[in-house]
Amino acid sequence: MKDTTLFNLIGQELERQRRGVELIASENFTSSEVMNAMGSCLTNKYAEGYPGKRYYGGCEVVDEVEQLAIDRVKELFGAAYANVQPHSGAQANAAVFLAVLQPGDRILGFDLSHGGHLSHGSPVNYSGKVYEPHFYGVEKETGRIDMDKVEAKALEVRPKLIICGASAYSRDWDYPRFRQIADKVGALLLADIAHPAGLVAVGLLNDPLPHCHIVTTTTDFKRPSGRVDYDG
Amino acid sequence: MMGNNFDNPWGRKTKKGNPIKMSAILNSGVFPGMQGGPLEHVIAAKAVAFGEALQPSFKSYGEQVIKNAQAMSDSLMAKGYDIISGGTDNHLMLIDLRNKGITGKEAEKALVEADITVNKNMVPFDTQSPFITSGIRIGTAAVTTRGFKEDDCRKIIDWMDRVLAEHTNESVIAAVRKEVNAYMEDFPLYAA
Repeated sequence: MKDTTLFNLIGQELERQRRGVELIASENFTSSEVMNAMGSCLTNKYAEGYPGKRYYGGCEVVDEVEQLAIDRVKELFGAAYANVQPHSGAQANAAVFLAVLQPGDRILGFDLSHGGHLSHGSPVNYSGKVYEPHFYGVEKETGRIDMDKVEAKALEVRPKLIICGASAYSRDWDYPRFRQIADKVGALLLADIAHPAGLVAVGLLNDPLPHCHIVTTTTDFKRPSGRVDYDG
Repeated sequence: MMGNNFDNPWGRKTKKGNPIKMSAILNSGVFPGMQGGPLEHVIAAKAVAFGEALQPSFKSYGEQVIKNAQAMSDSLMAKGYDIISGGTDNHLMLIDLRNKGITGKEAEKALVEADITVNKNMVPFDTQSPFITSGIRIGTAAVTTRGFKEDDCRKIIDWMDRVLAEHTNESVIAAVRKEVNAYMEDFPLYAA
């Protein structure tokens, strides 16, 4: 059977991508090799668990695939640990929250309406329903985050987790200062670098890894056509 | 990821009495905590993408992404657009359109009709709802992959400005779309 209906739609989308100027900040064009891997027979394999510790047989090859992804991302960011399984950045964040928080715990994130991300405690997202979200924002005059105000908010709220990272903030992050604040209030510090990860990887933006307890990201910088992400 | 795989801060121990590492706690947050089976084809694609990002050419790409973003931001400000925080350090910028008398929703619609894809976005202290918004967000990762340099980015801003200045004028939109389509033919995508 040839599914002309569906493949005609994919053809239309390719044409749209070719003829236009793409300025959506979280989008990119992946390489053909990335797409070939995405459309490969690996899609047939079920592999619950982790390399070497699976709940299904026949995982020898996918174990090597997953280990290669882990080794490469660790090399890219200079990380000691990485998990490449989360299906998206929001899921990576949710997995971290599940791992380090209890329902009802306070979290402190960057206000969505100031450029933050939905998964950092927005009331419409799981993170804002299960946990008690508080926010810092930018200053009206400068459009920038004032770290003294972040500290004051953290001291007032006493969160269990502080999140730095954004979906629409054009400035770099002061990770050492965030860590000082987290230590002062006994919080863990999570950096979600989904947006600028590629620029962080090549040293063009500040490196969160030495300062933040946990870093999540996506592969927007080299993305396949779906949102593929990893966490750690 | 973690830069350092530290012992969990809550004193949780393994059956043998050793402190549980954070790597084990995070792994169980992902599986079985949040997800079932991993998408190994997607993980393979990530491996390829990470391999590409490890090549020296990826650093030059990153440098061009930032140069392009700064060219766009400077060009927008020169045309009187209000960039939140007055510029950019990374690949993106948020434009507050309130001084131009157009909402984010209207801007997105007009630009998409001209084959310039952007998304409406709340700006800090926005007076509009999230479905309307007062701003748009733009970034340079995708156009840089297609080969754009600073001059090409300034060209985009000229088109954007023409559309936003007359966002209900269909002949302006159609004229810009024609120029955009012709221009993009010189930046092939997935050429056979």
